[in-house]
Amino acid sequence: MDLLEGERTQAPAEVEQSGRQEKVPLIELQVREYIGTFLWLGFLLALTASVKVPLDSSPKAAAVSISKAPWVFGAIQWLLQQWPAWLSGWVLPLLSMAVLFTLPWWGQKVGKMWVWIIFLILSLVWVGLTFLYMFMG
Amino acid sequence: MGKQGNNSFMGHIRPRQIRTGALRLRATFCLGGFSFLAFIVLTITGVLLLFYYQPGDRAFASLSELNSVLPYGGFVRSLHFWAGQMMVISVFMHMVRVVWSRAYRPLRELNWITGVVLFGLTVILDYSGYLLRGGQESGAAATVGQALFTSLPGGQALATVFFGQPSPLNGSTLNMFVWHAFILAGAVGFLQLFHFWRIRRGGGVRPL
Amino acid sequence: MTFDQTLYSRRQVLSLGRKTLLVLGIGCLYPVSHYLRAKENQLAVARIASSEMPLKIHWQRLGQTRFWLRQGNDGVEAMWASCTHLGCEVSYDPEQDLWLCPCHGSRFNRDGQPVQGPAVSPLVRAEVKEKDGFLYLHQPAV
Ligand code: HEM
Ligand code: FES
Repeated sequence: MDLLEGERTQAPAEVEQSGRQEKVPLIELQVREYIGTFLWLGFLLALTASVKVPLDSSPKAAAVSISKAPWVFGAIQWLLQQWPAWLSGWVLPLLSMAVLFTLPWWGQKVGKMWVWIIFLILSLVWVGLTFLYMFMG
Repeated sequence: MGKQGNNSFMGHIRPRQIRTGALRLRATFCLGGFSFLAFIVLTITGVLLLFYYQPGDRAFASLSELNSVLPYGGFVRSLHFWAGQMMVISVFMHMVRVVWSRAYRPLRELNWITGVVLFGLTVILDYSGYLLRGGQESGAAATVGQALFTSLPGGQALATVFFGQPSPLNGSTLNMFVWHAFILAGAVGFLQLFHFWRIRRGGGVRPL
Repeated sequence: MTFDQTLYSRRQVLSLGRKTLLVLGIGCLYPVSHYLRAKENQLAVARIASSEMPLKIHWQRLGQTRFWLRQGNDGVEAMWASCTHLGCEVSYDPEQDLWLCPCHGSRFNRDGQPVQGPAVSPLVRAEVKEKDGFLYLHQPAV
């Protein structure tokens, strides 16, 4: 078995609705999966070879004066600098996750367009804050 | 799982014939698949790291030895690191793609929920992996997480279960190690299989 | 069916088994949670010979610990160097005469009063006891 399962995991809505039923042999897909796999692995290897992964400061060294959090929680770190911990550390992240979980439900309530807009705003805010934290003081 | 009947797992995942529409790159940009690929790379390199990594007080020392002395040690560690970052990004992009193509709608709700759980777990995995370094920065990151739990009513117990002893001096990595390498990684692996199985079973793209 | 006469049907046995497992599983939560939390209340302690450390009026870190010591007016004073915002390890910078937190930038004056940043309460002192020529330091239980 090859590695890439996801390539045809979810066909877009148009395909589904058009009800096209032409079939092709599985090998057509497998070929594409292999190509994708090797492109991806190549990119990963290039990244690994070219950017050294730091190991930060030894716990035995003198205390560091600024400690950057890992980027995945950068946005939360940024929020923690502005607002109380219960709000930035719990309420805002959990609220965002709750919105994500209930997206199908929102889809029925307010329509697909609004779901996309809500989702986009939410994502952009979090991604933006992450960049803000990583690249500014 | 041996038989190739229509109900067997493999039969769902690898049908012999597929629809042409499913081939188009624009349909998925391969993002789900790339996430899975990253997970496989992470599992392989993670197991390799297990051979030398020593959780606890020796975490940082064992990693710097692995990084600089062991043949290909630095390479394995970098691969694990970068595959981890790529996995977070590609899971996120996969989610964006799913919302864009409106694939979260009924019939696939369960898979949407599984996907959101997977996204959350991947982010937590990336964070917990970073804590395993046992350096000052990762110790600080652990302390902040620990303090957030402690601030909850009754959160002291949770903080202890996740992070170990309170106020570790930068480097009590044992608990996080168990979570990262076994519990969370196992849960993510299992949920992914479930996710792929649901795509065939309950998804809108009928078993072909 | 040959087993029709038996006291319990297979279904009943199965469901009884499931319920038993559930009860056992829930019953395990209590001991397991205690097992996992065994070290919950362990507080840091350190010891140093009174003669060993030349105490100054500026704060000095004790080895690889979060204890910092200085010579106060009435004896040795100890600070527990954990930020009161979210617990990161603060350190004393003699040049600025301030305690600095690496995580979100809180600052405290030399006596531990907050002067800037998200932290609002002062740093906590550690308890110092002198006994048999040793200083015993105890992490404050917050
Ligand atoms: C599935 C997603 C996973 C993610 C996102 C992930 C992420 C990470 C990250 C970011 C690090 C820190 C690397 C560094 O900064 O040096 C790390 C370390 C580590 N991981 Fe993973 N990991 C995953 C799976 C696994 C698995 C499956 C195992 C083992 C079976 C594993 C074992 C380890 C070990 C032993 C370390 C410590 C070595 C080090 O820090 O370089 N990981 N992981
Ligand atoms: S932990 Fe010190 S400023 Fe947040």
